[in-house]
Amino acid sequence: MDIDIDDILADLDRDTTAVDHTFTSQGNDITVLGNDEPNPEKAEVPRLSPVKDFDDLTTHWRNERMCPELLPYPHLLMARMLRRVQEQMEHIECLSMGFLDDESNNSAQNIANKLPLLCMEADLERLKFVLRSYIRCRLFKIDKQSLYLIQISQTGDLTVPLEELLSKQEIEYHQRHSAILLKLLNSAILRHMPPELQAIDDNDGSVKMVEEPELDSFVFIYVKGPDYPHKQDPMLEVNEEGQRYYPVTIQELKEEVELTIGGIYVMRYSVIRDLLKDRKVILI
Amino acid sequence: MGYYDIDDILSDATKFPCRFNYSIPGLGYLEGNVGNPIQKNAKIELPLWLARVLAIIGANADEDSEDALPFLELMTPDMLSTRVMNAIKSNPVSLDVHSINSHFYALATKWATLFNDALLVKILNVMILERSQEINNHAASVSIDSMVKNDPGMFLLTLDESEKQLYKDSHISCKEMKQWMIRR
Repeated sequence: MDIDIDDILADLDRDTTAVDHTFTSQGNDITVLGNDEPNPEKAEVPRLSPVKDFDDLTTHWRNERMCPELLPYPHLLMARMLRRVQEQMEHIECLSMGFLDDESNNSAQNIANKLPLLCMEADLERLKFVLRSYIRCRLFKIDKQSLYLIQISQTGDLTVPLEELLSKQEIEYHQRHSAILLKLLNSAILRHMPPELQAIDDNDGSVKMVEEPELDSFVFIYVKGPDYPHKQDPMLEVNEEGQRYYPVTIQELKEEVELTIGGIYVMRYSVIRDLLKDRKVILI
Repeated sequence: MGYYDIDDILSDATKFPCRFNYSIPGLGYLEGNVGNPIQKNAKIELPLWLARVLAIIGANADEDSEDALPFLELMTPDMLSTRVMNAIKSNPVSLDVHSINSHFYALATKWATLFNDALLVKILNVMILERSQEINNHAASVSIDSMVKNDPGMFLLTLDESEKQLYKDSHISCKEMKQWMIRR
């Protein structure tokens, strides 16, 4: 007769890993700035670690690159990342200062010590590239949707407030860039027009002037499933073959689609928008 | 189809044949004789951005009458005539879309939205699917040696503007992928 002791083993495992976690997080994270998770649960939330943060950043970066609309800015994550870049830069600086002092020592040891420094520098460059690419991608979208952003922030039908959607620097960029653009258009063309044609955000004419993001465009998605596999997800359902899936409905066709976990689909963005917000799927 | 989309602006400038439902004084310059009124039932060609609005808005002052006759009536253009439709139905791949109209899809889509033409949409769907397969074939056949110029072939000369964009994008992605694979 078999006795299932998997849960007991899992319990034991958790104890040892918990110790591990505290050990690693002590050295790296002195100031914990908080968590980006919408609803952190005590037992399941993995501690903050630079590795997990980098994974998160890569996901945010990938989503932002493929998504037709501007996604909310991950304030806490970015604050942590930028702080770490700063610290690491100082750390490398300190280390290389140390090398200058040890010049008189035997050279073999010096060469051996240079490899970690090289790795640190390469790693920092890699992180900085992702950060730069992420921010530049966002700025491109802000440029494109500048009128739309102004419009929705004025009418107030935002799902997320502008402060959460954009970072402080992005808000400033957005405001000043659109002011400059408006000034150029005004002085070049618009002042020669009759007054009723001078608006640049006129939506009543034959063609809409405010360009909205194309929420119906197609994106490739990977269905990742919930963050914590043990927890019950109310949206998940199980089909005849025992696979877990998210049911979504395509409005126009009135068609129901099963997004099985681990699958890759081409789907309209508007259909999977909520799942993306809950981090159940990622864009690829 | 944004406001600042160059291709959209260009395709909107395509002329469509229309017939006026009213005689209107002063509009003679549309026909070429300035100063004279335009006659009822006069047939002229107008750019789509003008014709689209005039075909919707009625001349009658009282807006509430449902069957108010609009200023002009759009007539089926050559590019959407039965002859072209039959040619599409028979073999979309061998059709020279570029010579029919360089913005064929954009215009056909506008026409279909204007008249709720389900049949046209159906034909276009089949057409774009079949042609996309052919475009993919041409785009994926990349010669690694950049010295050898790819012969464009007859098919690529028959592409419409949006298809050209599609071809260019997929060709570049195929080419760069291949270059990345062979380098190291």
